[in-house]
Amino acid sequence: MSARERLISHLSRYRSIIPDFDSFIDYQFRPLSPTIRTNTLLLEPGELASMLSSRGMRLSAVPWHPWFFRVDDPGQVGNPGRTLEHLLGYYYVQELTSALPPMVLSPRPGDLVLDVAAAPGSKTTQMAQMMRNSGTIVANDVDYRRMGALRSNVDRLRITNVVMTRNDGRRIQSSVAFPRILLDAPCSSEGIARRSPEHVAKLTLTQIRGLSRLQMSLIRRSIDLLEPGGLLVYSVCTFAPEEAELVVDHAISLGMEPEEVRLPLRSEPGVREWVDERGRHYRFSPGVEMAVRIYPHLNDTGGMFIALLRKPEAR
Amino acid sequence: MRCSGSPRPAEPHEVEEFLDYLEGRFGIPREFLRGYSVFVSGDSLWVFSGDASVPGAVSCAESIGVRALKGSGKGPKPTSAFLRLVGRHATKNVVDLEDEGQLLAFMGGGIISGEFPVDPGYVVVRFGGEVLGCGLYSPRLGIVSQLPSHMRSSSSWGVFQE
Repeated sequence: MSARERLISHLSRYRSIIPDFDSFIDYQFRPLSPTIRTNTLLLEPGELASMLSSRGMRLSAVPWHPWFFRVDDPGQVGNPGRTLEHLLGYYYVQELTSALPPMVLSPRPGDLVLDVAAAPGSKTTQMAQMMRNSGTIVANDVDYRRMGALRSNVDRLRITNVVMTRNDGRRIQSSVAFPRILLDAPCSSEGIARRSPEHVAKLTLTQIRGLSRLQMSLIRRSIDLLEPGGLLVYSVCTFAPEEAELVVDHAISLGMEPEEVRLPLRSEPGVREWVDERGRHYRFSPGVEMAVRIYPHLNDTGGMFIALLRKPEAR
Repeated sequence: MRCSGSPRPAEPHEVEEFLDYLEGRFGIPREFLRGYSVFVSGDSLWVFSGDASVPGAVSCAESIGVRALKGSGKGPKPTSAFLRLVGRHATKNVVDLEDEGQLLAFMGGGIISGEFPVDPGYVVVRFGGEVLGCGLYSPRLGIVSQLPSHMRSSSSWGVFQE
């Protein structure tokens, strides 16, 4: 079986829950233009656009986020990550769907935020911009090598309000409770097929189930670290309900209260039920419908699942 | 998982020595530190704009804000990341690169030969008004780029002032 056929075969397990499935499949084979985020700590989006346009890069604005540009043609540099402006931290190459979880968490200047699985730092650095380098972000990751990438991105963007910690996310210890937590969990990454189809073609169901168990543990620990009344954003760049609604359903069963996710682009609600290839019938609580699924064919992006959960106030 | 040594808040005398060094070497006014707290880890000093009570409250903190100085047998060495933050306040031991050739040599981690009107030792390197990072000047060699590998570029495209 070719890689293309393996990819289609794998994603077919979602045929019953993804609307306009043929178009969804068609989009998996369309290249995805890179997108960049202006580092608003250093310059305005318009300044960045003129700077890069004068180098021959062709950009178009992203209508729903003023910091972002789609790179329609990188010009002679070939790759938007290979410019001096990039090295100096004027911008970050970030896929659009990756910008959504921080938008949902919506940290403000002065806030205290925990980013449980932070490396390589696209969302950490975006949140630092939203917080204008004030308040505090605890950016955690477990992997030493990935921590290096996180550190270099934080340095490059001249961000000064980040504490980097290296812990297994299931065992983070803290004597302070966090009012906002982002759990952008390690996942099977089916939503990146447009950039890395080989990865998705090789996925196994055993991997998905293992990741689901890890995500359940991570969300339990995140709930423990959240202060009463605090907000938790759970996101994964994948379509598997085992890694999405099943994990959120678990959090709801532990008392978390789902809130509606509002986004400025087309999305589908979380699914209430699904039957997997072995005939197992999953039924989730109604609250999962407040989460969103982003599919590539809806907005010409990658894929993502995002839920917003509030911890009840202590009684 | 074992944690490496956690950073601790700097003692007042360590902050004073830090400010003395920046003022003495680069003419950076002491007020620049307003709004930052200073932490120490091993032989490094960090500056941090967040809540200073948080680093001690979480497990396995490895870095806090931006690493500013590293100690060494030859005295303190400022990091390029830190100079990009504060180098615009420097009034001495600053080198302005003059052309794209020098820029590419510096960004590639190389050497810019020649004599420059600065004291031997660490210097702030700028181009077009933008701080690029730290260089080490000696009259014999010139300016040796101190950019760490992840901040370097071998690209011949992308200068920001033509």
